Amino acid sequence: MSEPGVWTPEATPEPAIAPPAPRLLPARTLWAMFGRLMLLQAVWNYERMQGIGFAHALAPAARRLAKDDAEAARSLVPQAGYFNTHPVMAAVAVGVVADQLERRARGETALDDAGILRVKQALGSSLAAMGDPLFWNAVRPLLALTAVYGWRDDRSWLGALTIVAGYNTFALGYRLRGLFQGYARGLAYVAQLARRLGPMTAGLRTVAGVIAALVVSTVLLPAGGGSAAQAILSVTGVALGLMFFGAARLGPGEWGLAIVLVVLAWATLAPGF
Amino acid sequence: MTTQAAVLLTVVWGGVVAADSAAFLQLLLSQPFVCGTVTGALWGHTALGCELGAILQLFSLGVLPVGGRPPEDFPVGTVVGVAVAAILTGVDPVASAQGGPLLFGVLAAFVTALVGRSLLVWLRHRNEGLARWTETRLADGDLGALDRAQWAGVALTFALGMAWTALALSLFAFVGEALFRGGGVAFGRAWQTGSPILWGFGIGSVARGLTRGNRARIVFWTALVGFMALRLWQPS
Repeated sequence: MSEPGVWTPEATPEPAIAPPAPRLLPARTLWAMFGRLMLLQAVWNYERMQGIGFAHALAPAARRLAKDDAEAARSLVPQAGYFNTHPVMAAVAVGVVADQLERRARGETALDDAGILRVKQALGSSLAAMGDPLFWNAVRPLLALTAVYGWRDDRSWLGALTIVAGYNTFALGYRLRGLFQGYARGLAYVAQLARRLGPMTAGLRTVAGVIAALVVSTVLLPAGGGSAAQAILSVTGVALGLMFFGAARLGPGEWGLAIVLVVLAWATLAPGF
Repeated sequence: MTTQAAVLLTVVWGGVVAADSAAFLQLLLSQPFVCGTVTGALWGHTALGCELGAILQLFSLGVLPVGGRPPEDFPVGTVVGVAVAAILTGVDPVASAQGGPLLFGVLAAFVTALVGRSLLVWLRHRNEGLARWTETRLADGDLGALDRAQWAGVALTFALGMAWTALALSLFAFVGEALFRGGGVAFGRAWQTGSPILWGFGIGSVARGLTRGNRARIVFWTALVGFMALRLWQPS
């Protein structure tokens, strides 16, 4: 029993935990947004980059949160401005912005258009910094090199299926997860992404490096054996690629064309060599 | 399959890979090994498609579709290169036996990819007008404008891909046939020299990109020494 006028912990009523607010966007709307993410770069341009695609992906959410189509359209005008990130990771940004628009519609936060746009821009660059190394510099070379190795060593065309099935299992899965988790957990989801994706990217790049070594070994020592001249040419090619690619401001297309023209001129001008 | 049907399907396939490379789906059908294999299969030369596709795949791994840099159009380049090589296979049997059509196919692929870069830049500038129109329509309350703009963008990319494939294919097939009818032996000889260099340079450039940092370099060189030893001493 506590004395009157004296504070005791028992006297303080337990603060009531507010039940989570019901979400306004049903799974059907999120699936519609997922489908639209496949067109993210349809109108890619130098002024707004993926901006129109971003607004298009967000349209089902805007329609759900607005009174009518006209209001939804006008609410998407700021979202159609500049935006650019890795196309797979864009799903996370779309999910997070949908969450913020929903919170604003419920009056939970004092977020205005400018605030949401700042969040979107920050997400664009940070997600690109995670997505580009993971998808373009790790997953894509890993699968492509596996396919090339299959062709070099076994004359197998199945590598084509490896590239398509392998990449899409990963990319579509990540798109789906990014969108749903981005919407469900908001910015908290993005905060832990870098911790998870960094080691995964490093690990996949190491594996890709090992497969690259495997392909180099098949080029230098082909399965059916090769002449000494071919071995010398292969070593020359590998050494040129390792030392000079990217060093002379030439892209891969220019390098490839230059090599073809040089060997063609050589074969024409010195046929007996 | 008749030649006309193969040409028609190749042109449509060129449009598909052009759209897949950025505008629509991005399922990586546009990766050279994938689109080269399919193009080769369309012409009844799957092995040829795989060989060219694999070489071009190594070169295209040096292209990062990041930011505003216009990438080389390797998808359409591969489709055109493989189709041209398949067409030339029947023209000069001696040159074909030495791989002459492959060299001309690689040449056609690189030129198509490099010129195609300018078309991509043109397309992206054209999309700026479409984006501005969409914004205006949205401000007027027209939500459907987004759908119309997006599908117009896909259609434009697909049509441009088809047109560029058709034009480059006709041009290189015409020039290639003229050259090979006069004797394509030089191309055959050039392929014997060029093939190991192209393979070597391609994989060397990929390895350069993957071995940034001491740890990656150590792993790569250790693995390479190990694989070379295994290949040298494996029982024949």
